[in-house]
Amino acid sequence: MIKKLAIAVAGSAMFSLPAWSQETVKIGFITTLTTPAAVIGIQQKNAVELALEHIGGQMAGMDVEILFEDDQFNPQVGRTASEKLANDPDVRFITGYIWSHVLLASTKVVLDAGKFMISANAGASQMSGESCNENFFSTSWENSQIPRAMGEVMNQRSVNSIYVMAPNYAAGKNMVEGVEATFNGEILGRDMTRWGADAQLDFSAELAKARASGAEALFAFYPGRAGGAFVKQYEQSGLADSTELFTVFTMDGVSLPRFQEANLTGVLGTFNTNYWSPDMDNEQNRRFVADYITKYGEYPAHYAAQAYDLIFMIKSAVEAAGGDLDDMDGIREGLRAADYASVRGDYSYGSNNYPIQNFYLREVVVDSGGRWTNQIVSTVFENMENPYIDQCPM
Amino acid sequence: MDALFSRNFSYRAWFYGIALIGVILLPIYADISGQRNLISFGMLIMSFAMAAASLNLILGFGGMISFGHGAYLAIGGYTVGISVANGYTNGFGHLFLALVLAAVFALITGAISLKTKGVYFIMITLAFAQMMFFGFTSLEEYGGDDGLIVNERSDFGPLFDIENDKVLYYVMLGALLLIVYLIYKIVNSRFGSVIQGSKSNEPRMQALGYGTYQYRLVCYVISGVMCALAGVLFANYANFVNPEDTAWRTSGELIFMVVLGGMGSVLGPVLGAVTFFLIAEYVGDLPVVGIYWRIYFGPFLILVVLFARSGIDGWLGRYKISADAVRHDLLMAPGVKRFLATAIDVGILTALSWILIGVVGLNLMELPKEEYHADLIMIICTYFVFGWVFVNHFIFPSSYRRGSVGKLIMGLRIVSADGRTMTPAQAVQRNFGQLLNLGILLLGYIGCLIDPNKLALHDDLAGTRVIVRGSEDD
Amino acid sequence: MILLITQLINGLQLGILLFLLAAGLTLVFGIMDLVNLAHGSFYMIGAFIGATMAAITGSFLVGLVLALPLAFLVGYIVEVTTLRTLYDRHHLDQVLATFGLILFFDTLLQLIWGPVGVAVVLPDYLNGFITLPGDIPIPTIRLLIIAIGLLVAAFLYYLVVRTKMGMLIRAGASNRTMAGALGVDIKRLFTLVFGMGAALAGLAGLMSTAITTEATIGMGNDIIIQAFVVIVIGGIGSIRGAFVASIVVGLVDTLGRSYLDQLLKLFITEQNAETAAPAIAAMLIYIMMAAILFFSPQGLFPPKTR
Repeated sequence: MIKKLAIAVAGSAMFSLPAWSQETVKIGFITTLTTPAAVIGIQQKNAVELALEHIGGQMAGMDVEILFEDDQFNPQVGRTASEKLANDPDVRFITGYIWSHVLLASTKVVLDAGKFMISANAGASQMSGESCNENFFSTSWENSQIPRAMGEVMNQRSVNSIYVMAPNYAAGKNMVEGVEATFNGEILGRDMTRWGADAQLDFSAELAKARASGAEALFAFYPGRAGGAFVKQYEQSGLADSTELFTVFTMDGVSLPRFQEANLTGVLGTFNTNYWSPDMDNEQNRRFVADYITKYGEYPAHYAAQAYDLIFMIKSAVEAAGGDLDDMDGIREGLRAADYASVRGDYSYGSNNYPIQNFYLREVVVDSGGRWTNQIVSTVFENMENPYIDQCPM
Repeated sequence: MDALFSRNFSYRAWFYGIALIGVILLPIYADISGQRNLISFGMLIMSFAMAAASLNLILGFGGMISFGHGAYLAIGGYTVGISVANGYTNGFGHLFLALVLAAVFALITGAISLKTKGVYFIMITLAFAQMMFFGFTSLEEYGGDDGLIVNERSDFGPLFDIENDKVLYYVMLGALLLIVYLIYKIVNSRFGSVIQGSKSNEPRMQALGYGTYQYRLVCYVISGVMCALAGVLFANYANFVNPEDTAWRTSGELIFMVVLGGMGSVLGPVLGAVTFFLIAEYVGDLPVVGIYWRIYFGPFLILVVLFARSGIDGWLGRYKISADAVRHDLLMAPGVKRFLATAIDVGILTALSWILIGVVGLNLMELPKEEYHADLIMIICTYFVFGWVFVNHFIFPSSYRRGSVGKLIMGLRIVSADGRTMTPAQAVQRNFGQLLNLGILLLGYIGCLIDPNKLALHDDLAGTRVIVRGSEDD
Repeated sequence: MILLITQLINGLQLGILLFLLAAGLTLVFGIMDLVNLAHGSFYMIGAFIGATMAAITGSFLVGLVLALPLAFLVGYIVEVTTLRTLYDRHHLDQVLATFGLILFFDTLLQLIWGPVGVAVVLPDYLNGFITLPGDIPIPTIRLLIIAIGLLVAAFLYYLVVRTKMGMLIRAGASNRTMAGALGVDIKRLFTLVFGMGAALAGLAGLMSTAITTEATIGMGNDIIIQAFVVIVIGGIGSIRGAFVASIVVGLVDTLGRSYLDQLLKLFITEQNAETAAPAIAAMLIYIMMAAILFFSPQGLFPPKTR
C-alpha cells in the first residue's frame, strides 16, 4: 500500500520535471474498474501487472508505464478516457477495451491522434472489415468467430434446432450473426435483451418463450454478471431437462468461481468455444496460469490471457523497432509479425490485423483442486481466417 | 476610498471577468504547454454548461423541475449523427433541423407535462425522456444501444472550419455566451417577470390576467431549443452520440450542476458545470481515494443542499446584511493574533492529517487481505480529517463558540457584521472565500493589514468580522 | 396458452417484487412528503446484508428473516441522522440530497464487500421448479416471492385499515399538520414507517438476488425509477394504488417482452423487430404513466385531501 502512495508521489515528481531524462514506454489501458463488470477489468489489470513483472518492467531497455483508465462500462466515459490518453503525446499505445461499444466509440479519437490501438478483448466485426485500420490490432478475435465455432460444434453434435439469447449491443448482435452463419439447423427464435447500465437480469419471459418454442438447444451469450443470472434462471426454469445449453463467453475464469460460489452445478459439463484455455500446454501458458493462480488465487480467463499477451506483443514490436518509439512503421511491422511467445501458441496476423488462429471446444470441469475450470475437448477450426477480411481495404 | 473593499466593488464581476479571459486564452496555453487535453476538457464542460444554463431557465427561474432535460441534448446530438450517417453534413441544416425538432418535441411534451404539478411534473418529464431513451436504443441502423459514431463534423463553411478543435472551442464559447446573454435578456423582460412571478405565486399572476400556462409553455420550448443547440455542438465535439445522454442520470447531473452553481442566477449553472467536472476529473485522479470519490461527493451534495442553497454564484456576492444592523463598535482583532490563530488551525490540521493518514492509515492499510478493505481504512481516516475540518471551520464558528479552535485560543471571535453568531450560510460562504483566497495566492489577506476594519476577502464576502472576544457583547 | 399462463405468473412475480419496493416508497412519500431516491439503496443494502447472513448461517431462509430487522435498522439510522432534516424541504432538495445518499451507499458497499458483489446460494428445494396443473413449470423461488409478497400485502392492508397505527398513518397521509395537532407523536410514527419501508425494500432486494444470483453494487438504482413510476401511477400515498399499479406494470413489462416482437414483425422486418422490441417493451410503462397522468393528473387512486 505504501508502494501505491510512493508511486503516486513519484508520478507527480516526474510530472514536474521536464521529460529529457529517459524515455519511457507509456501504454494507456482502458478497462472497467468500477460497476459489477469490474470483475473482468480487474482480471485484465492483474494480468498486465503480472506480465510487467515477467518482463522486468522494461522494453528495449526503457521503463514501461501503464496508465489504467476506467470506462465505467459506459461508451461515453470510455471515449473521454481514450481522448485523454490520445491527447498525451508520450502515450504511444492505447489498449484494453473489454466492450465492443466502448471500443467503437473510441476508435476515431485514438486513431486520428496517430496512436496504436490494440484491443485486448472487444472484437467488433466492423474493425476487422470495413473500418479496419493499419494502426488497429487485436490480440483476441473478431466477435463472430467464436459463435461460428459453436455453430459448427452444434452441427457436429447433430442439434437440429436452437433458440438464441443475447444482450442487445454490438457484440451481442455479432454473436448472433456468427452462430447463424455456421449453424445448419433451424433457429426457432431469438431474444435480444436490454444491456448497459440497467441491463435486464430477469429472463423469465425469454426462457418461457424458449421452452415454448420446443428448441433442442439454447445458445446464449451473457458475459460477466448477467451470466450468473442467466445460468441460475436456466436451472430454475427446468429447461435444463429438455434443452441443452451452449454458450460463448459465459463460462470462463471470471464467472466460474462465482458460479461455484453460488453452487450452480448445472454448468458442469456444458460446452463453450474459445481460442485459448488455461490447460493449453505450452511453456508461456504454463508459466502464466501457474503464476496467475499463485498471485491472485483464481484461474485467469481469456480476458487475462489477452491482456498478458498484449504486453509481450508490444515488447516484441518495440524491440523490433530498435527501441525507437517514433518509428511507427517499424513498430507496426513488429506488431504484425506477432513474433513473441503467446499463451495460445503460435499464430499470425491477417491483412486486417486480426489473428489467424485455432478455435477449440471446451468443457466445464472440476480440476484436481476442486476448482471449476475449462478444459479443451477438441479443435473446431484450425487457423481460421477472419470472416470479414474481404471487406477490409488493406 | 475609506475601505479597501468599497461597497461598489463586485467580486462577481471581477471573478467572471478574469474567468472569461482565462477561458479565451486557454487554447493558447494548451498549445504552449502541450496539454492538448485541456481543449477537449473545455469543450466537454462548455457543452454541459450550455445544457445546464438552459435547464436553469425553466428550473431556476420558472420553478419547473424537469427530470428529462437530457432528451434535448440527445435530440441535438442525434440530429447531427443521423444526418452525417446519411451523408448530409451541412452544419446550418443540422442546426435548423435540431432546433425545429427540439421545439416540436418540447411543444408536445410541454403541453402535456405542464398540465401537472410538483412531483407529477418531475415524473412525466422523466417519462418522456425515458421514452426517447428507449426510442434511440431501438434505432438499429443508428447504433442502437451502442450509440452512434459521428464520422464527420458539421460543415459550417470555410469560415468556421470546426474540424479544427480550436475553432470548435471558440464556436462553443460563442454559443455559450449567446445562450447566457439570451437568458439574461429573457429573465429581465416582461415575459421573464411573468415566468418568475408564476413560480412564486401563480394564482396572483392569473388574477392579473396572464395565461401562465401559455407563458410557461413558451419558456419550456425556448429552454429545450437552447439545450438542443448544446447537443448539436456536443455531438460535434465528441464525434459520438449515445442514448445515455437522455437517460435519467444525465438529467439528474444537469439538475445538480444548476443547484451547485446557483439556481436563479444566469451564470450560476456554468460555474456548476465547471465545478462538477473539475471534481470528477481531478478528485477522481487522486491516489487510493480517487476511484471512491463519490463517497465524499455524496455527503458534500447533502451539505450543499442543507446549508448552501445559494450556490457558488451566490457566494460570489456579498452576504446581505442591512446597513442599519452593521455594528461599528466591534473591536477588530489585530493582524498578528489573526495570523497566529490561523497558524494554530493549520498546524492542528497538518498534524492530524499526518497522524491519521500518514501514520495510522498507511500502517493499518498493510493489514487486511482484500485491497478494498485497505482502501476502506484509508477512507475512514480521511473522513476523520474532513470531519475535523467540518467541525472546526463550520460547526464551531456557527455555534455559540463563535470561532475555530485557533481563534478561540487566541481570544478571538468570528461574528456576523451585525454582532450576531454567523449563520450556517455565512460560514459556508466564508470557507468558500478562503478557498478563493488560496486560488489567488492569499492576496485576499492583504485586507487584514491595510483595511480599517481588517477585512480579508472572505470576511467581506460573508459579511463577517474577526474581533476581540467580548467586544460583541451588548 | 401454456406460454400465456407462464408469462402471466412471471409478470405477477415481477409486479409483487415492485410492490414490496413501492409500498414503503409510497408511504414515505404520502406521509412525510419526502421524495426518497435512496429507497433503492435499502433494496441493495438488504440484499447485501441478507446474502452475507445467508452465507454465514448457511441458510437462505434465515438470511431472509434476518434481512428484515437489519434493513429496518439501517433505515432507522438514516432517517434519524439525515432524512429527518429534509421533510420540510422542497422536493428538489430532497431529490438531490437523497441522490447524495445513493452515491455514498454505493461506494460504501463497494468498500465493504468489494466491487464484485455477494453470491446467494439457494437450497436445492428452492432452486428447482414446480409443475402446475396443465404441465406448466414455474420456478419454485418465483412462487415463494409471490407468496411472501401477497402475505406482506395482506399484512399492510390489515395494518393500515384495521390498527391504530394504520389509522395514524392514514391521518398523517391525508393531513399531516392536523394529525400532529391531535397529539400524534409524528416524529416516532415517521421513523417507524420509514424503517418499515426500508425493511420491505431490503426484503425485495434479497429476494431479487435469489433470481439474479448476486447482490451487486447499484442494483437498486434502476429499479427505483420503476418503483417511482408505480407509485405515481397508483397515486402517491395509496397502498392499494401501489399494489394495483405494481401488478399492472409487472404484467405490461413481461407481456411486452413476450409478445411485442411477434406483433412488430407484422409491420417491420424480422431483424428490426427483434432489436426494437425490448426497447419498446421498456418504453411501455412510461407511455402508460404519461397517459394516466394526462387523464388523471394525480394517478389512479389520488390522495383524498392535501
